[in-house]
Amino acid sequence: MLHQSVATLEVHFPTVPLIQFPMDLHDKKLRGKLQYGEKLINQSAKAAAKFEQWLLPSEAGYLEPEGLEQTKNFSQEAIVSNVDISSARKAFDIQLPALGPYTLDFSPSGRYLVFGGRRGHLATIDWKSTHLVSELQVAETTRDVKFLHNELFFAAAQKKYVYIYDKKGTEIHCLKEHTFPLKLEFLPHHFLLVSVDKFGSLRYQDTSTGLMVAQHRTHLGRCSVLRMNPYNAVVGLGHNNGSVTMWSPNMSKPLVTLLCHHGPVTAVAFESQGQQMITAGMDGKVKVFDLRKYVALHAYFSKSPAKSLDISQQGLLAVGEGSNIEIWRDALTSKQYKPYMTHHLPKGWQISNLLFCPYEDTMGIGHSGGLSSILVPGSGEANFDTFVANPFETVKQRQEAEVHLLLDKLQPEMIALDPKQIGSIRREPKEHSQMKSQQALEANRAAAIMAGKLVVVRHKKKGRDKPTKRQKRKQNNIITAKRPLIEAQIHSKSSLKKAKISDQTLPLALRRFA
Amino acid sequence: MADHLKRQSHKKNKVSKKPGKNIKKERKKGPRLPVSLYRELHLENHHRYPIQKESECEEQEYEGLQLRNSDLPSDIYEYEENQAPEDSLKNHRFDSIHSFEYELPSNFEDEEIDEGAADGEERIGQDKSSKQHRLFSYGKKRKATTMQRSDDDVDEEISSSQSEDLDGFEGDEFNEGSNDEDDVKEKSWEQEISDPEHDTNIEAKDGDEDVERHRKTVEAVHMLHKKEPKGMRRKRAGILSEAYPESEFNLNPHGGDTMQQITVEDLISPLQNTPGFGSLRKRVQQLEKKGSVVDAPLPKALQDRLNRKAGYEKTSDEISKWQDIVKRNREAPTLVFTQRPDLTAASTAELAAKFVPTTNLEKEVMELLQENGLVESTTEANTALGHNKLTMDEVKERREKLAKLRSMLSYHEAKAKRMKKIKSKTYHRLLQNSRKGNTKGEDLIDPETLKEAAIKAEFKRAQERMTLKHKNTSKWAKRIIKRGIKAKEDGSREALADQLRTHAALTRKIHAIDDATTSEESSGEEDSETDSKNGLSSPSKPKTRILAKAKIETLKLLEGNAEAEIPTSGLFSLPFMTRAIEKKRKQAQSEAFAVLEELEQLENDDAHIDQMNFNLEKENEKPASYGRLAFGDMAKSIPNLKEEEPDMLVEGNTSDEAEGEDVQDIPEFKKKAFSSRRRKPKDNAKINPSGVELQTCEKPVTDAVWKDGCNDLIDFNASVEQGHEVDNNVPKAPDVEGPNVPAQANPWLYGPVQGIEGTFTKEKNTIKQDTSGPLVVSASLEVLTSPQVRRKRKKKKAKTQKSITPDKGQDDKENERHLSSNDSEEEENQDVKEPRFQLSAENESQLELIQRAFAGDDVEADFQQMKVEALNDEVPLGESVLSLPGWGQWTDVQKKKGPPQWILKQQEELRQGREQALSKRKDFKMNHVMISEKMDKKFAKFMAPQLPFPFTSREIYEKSTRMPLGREFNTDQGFRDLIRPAVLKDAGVIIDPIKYKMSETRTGDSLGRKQEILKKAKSFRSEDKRKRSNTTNSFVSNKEMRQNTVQKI
Repeated sequence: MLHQSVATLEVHFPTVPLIQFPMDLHDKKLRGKLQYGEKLINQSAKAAAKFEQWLLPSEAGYLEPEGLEQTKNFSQEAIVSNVDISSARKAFDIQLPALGPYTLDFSPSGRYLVFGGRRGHLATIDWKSTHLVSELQVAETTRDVKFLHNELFFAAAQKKYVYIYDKKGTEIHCLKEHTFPLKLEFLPHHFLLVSVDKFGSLRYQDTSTGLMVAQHRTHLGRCSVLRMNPYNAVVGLGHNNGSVTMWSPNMSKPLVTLLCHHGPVTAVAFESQGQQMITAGMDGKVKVFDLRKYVALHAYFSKSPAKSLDISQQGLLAVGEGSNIEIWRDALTSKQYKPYMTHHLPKGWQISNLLFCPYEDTMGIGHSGGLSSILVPGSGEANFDTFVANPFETVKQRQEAEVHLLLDKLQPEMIALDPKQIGSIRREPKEHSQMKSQQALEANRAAAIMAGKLVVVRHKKKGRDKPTKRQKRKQNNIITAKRPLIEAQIHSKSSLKKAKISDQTLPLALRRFA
Repeated sequence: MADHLKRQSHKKNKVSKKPGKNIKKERKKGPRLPVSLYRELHLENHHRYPIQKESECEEQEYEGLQLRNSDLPSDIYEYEENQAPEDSLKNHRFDSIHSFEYELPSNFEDEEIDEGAADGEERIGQDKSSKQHRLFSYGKKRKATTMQRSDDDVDEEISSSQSEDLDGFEGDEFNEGSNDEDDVKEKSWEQEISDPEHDTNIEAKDGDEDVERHRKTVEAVHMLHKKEPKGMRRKRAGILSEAYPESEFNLNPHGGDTMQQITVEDLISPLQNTPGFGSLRKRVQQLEKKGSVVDAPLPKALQDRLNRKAGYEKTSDEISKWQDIVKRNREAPTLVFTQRPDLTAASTAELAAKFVPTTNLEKEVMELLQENGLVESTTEANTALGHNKLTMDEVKERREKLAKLRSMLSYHEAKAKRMKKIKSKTYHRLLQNSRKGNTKGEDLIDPETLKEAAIKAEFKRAQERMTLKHKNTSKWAKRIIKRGIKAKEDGSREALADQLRTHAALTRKIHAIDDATTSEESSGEEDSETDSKNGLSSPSKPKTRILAKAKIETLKLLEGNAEAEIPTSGLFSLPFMTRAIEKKRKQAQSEAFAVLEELEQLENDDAHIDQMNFNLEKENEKPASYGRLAFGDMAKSIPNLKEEEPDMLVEGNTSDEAEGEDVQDIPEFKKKAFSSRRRKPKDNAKINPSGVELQTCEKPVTDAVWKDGCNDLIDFNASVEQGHEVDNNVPKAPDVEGPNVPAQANPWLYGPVQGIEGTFTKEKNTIKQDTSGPLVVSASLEVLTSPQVRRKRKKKKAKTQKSITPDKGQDDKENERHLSSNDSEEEENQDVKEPRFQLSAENESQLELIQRAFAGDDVEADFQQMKVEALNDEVPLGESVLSLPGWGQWTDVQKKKGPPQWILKQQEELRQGREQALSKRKDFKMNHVMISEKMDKKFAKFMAPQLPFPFTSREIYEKSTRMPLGREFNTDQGFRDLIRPAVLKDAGVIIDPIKYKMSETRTGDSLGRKQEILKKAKSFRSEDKRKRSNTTNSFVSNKEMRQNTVQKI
């Protein structure tokens, strides 16, 4: 993880200046402590920046045109012919026209690929060596496939249920809670498998414990657009009414609902820092949203609605519609007017799914004619961190990494729009706090009454121990017990009133005399 | 003492003087108060009624104990009126006449007379108490009285003569007595006299002295009297003060003159005759000589206090020296109590020196080694170390070297500073030039060298052109190119680029010096470039420009020739020379004319070609729907042309012509323009792969569900490509229209293939092979929308069917690449503009079609509805009483009035409260966004319920937690620093108490600070140096880096 952190530090370093804790922080000890902490953080960041040159040797490069050339005109053939053999080998087509449009998914390290044909053809391959790991025919409609935390398991959204298969293609589980699933997603840090079904129900299942974590009904009808925000693990759904909803397993209502398009939403993708979201709709627009302010930054117009969207590790945006793919560079931050690359699938094959391969400059395309892989220079992260994902992982390393993953697993409750809120001070709504104080007051009152009741009424001499008098004394006990509470209440009320009065009536200068 | 006695006698005299007053008083008997109480009462009284007390005292003296309640008049029968207030000075009605002169009372003599009686009394007492007789001088009469006791004793004596009860209270009795006359004076006397030491006999002295002393005493008394508070003023000061000579028994408390101060001499003088006096005197003298008189010790409490104070100061001093150490320890992030292993590695020599052979084998080996001289003795090792020592000279040399270096550095520093300060731009420019090469400037000046350089350059250029040495023709370059330029091999790529650059530089034609012409040319080139880019392709234009230029030049030449003067002097003025010149000129002129003619002809030709081009352009305008579009300035420049009707379509246009001008300022056309431009660079002749596929496009698309309806619908993509192909290769008449044109295949039909699989089959029937566009559109609408929307949509369907007519132009529009970008604003505008939908089919774009398709979907209204519902859920309107049954509903009047005012008010308040709550929400004013503000209870458990202890503000706390501490987010060193505990202790390490070291205290601290500052300064200087010497820079930083990493690793 070190290098990732270093990478983030690199990004944030200039924006995280040393905080000068205010001098009105009267606690000298605390101030000293905080300042020391700041110093350490600063040092640490600087040291990390220094390490970068040792740990991040490779740099990402892009296609560079010469003269009048334009990168969007570079064909795959030209690119392939100009790259080294090992890279050239990564561009290929697998023609499987019979079992019809394919969806695919990469393992976290980008080494393995799982793909599933609509007609039940499932297979995993070693992406780099194009070695077939397993292949099976489930003989029923398969709508989506997804790797779990590593390449050993993958889930397939089949006709009725979600199934989990292992590396060899053995069926491990049938998740019967997930009925008629259309789309799958896996939250790697939380070990949650998310599915959305034909009726618009969103389901979260913990793959480490097997428990069903949450089931939400969206009430927005059939939904087949599902994507995870890698920054906060909030899941985004695209609906037929043109809105995108964001969900966490904790809340039964969407955290955010955005009206993005006039037609149904066809695809959603999130940027890795979680600051931007891209949506494509049937109205033919591709819109970029700022997730901090929830406003559309800019929009692109596609003539035929984009079918699939993806954002690479380096921030390239791929838009697939019909049989065309366009790859845009810096399209999120500012509006671009020409794509970085274009690609046309031969034979009019229709794209169903496209994904950038992590840590590689390639992109996988699932389409009606099978699978294709194209080269997209500059798409992948050039330096991988073996603590995060290791494409060259040995079995031992994988096993250890799995244990670490499980140990570092985050609880599903930790999913929220702003994960940085963890550890901050809870800000309860007014009603909550009021209710709590009310409850506390009542509890105190009850306790006081109880205490008053429990006071033993002593027997008195004759004439004074009449039942009425005893009763009176008992009552008195209770009243005396309640008295301080009531007095406090009255006092607080009166003080409030006073404060109010002084606030309202007196001019500012005179308030201190009130 | 004597004085006292006298006082007593005086009292007695008084008594005797008014016998009638007191004698009548009866002796009181029976129950009485305890003595102490009496005394208290008395004390009180005599403060209040000082005059009465006098008499009382007298009574007391004679009659022993009586009831002395002075509240009551002492004698009820004899009322002695107090002085009238007007008489007293209190009210100042009369002039105040103060006589401070002491006057003896008029009856002074009488006292003397009565003395006898008093003496008698006294004598009785004296006889009783003691047999000692001493002479006692009393005034001028030198009356000797025997006296042994103190003043108190006298009183006691007196009282005891009547009653023994008062024996224990002599002091008080005395006080009583003293109050008769003057408290203060009495007290002073008492002080002196009560000292038992002075209980010795003293001879009386001379009368004159007495008088003097007397006067002084009286004065002193008066002074005291003045100080008295007003209320306590005495009516009369009937005081007699005697003036006895100073003695141990009669000490003058006030001292007065130094002459009259009591000395030790005075005190011991009475002992003159006693044995041992000599030694005593000697000791006293010694003491006096030394002059060290020991003061009387202070009271114990005071002593203790001072002791404590001094002790506190001492201890605080002692402790404060620890303060720095304690402070440092407190502030230290970590206190380390770990064993530090001794890491000083022993050298081999050291080990060898220490080695002592123990076993036999070792000994043997050692012997052998020694025999052969293979063992270096320890002394050798030491001497080797000794060699390391530097001699004095060496040290000196080094120092000098260093000094020199330092001075040089400082010199350079100063120089650099000075240079840096110079602000003149010209200076810097010159400096830069000189740095670039001193020769260059000279070259520019010297024409010879300039020429030479030019020749050289030309030669080089020729050489380069011949050999093409730098044009990637080398083996190396070829190999690299063959292998393919990769991102990773930056070096080689750069090298290649470099080569190309040098090639370009070498082969560049040396331009004329005239900058203006070149710039013009270049701008002309640019123009032509842009023209060609925009499809205007007018190669003739630059040509005409050149021609015009040439024409102008020749004309100029001609004029110049005509006007040129023939030199009148010198060699050229010779007749044969002038003739030759004239001849040459004529020849030139004729040539120029010929050229001019030629140019004109050429120009005419160009104009012809231009005309042709213009026609072509006009023709191209007609097919408005395809080809290149124009925007911006160009679009504005040509609008007039649009109106002209195209005559014919020229077949066999070039590709440029195919992408002819189209003037549209409607946004959607702009969009298309973008897309068309993107397409432009594509080779037209090249056949698109999907275009090839076109011939077999009737074959079903692989999608299973799609297959059903696919026979009817032609693959959109294919149609698109087909259209394009047709466009490019087989030009056809624009008015060709027909049903065989690919159906109104809307691209967005293909989007929801997956989404509509269920419903598609139902709608299939409506799609027929023969149907033209509208039906398909409607079908697609049916398919796309949800049932409710569909219902709405049906109403609109008819309209759309009418308005959409199949059109070739539209098809062509669709041929364009579909993903085009445009400003979102423009799109928004289009969204807003309703009338767009009413536009004729010819101008209808894809975007509009889509808008039309989703027009029935009032998504925004739906969303607003949803939002309102959600807000109602999240921010409910509080509960209020809407109506009370029976209240206000009895009569029609009441009913008409509506609910009572208070209910309305309550509701209004609730509504306002809710509005306020809504306005505070994040999604307030965001029409397209809904953000839930429900509390996430499950997430709340990961948040702190309140501020942790030392923090007082939320901001500071949240700032402090902003950086993660984890291993993943920090370097290893940083991580360990961040999580290091406050105390590090190894097991078994004994923590000793802190030892005090001077170096650690403040002085030490300041020293340390100084050192730090010095260090900083040093480092700063070294940095500065590093900056200056670039070459060393990288080396040093690398080295540092390595060290750092080593440390960290």
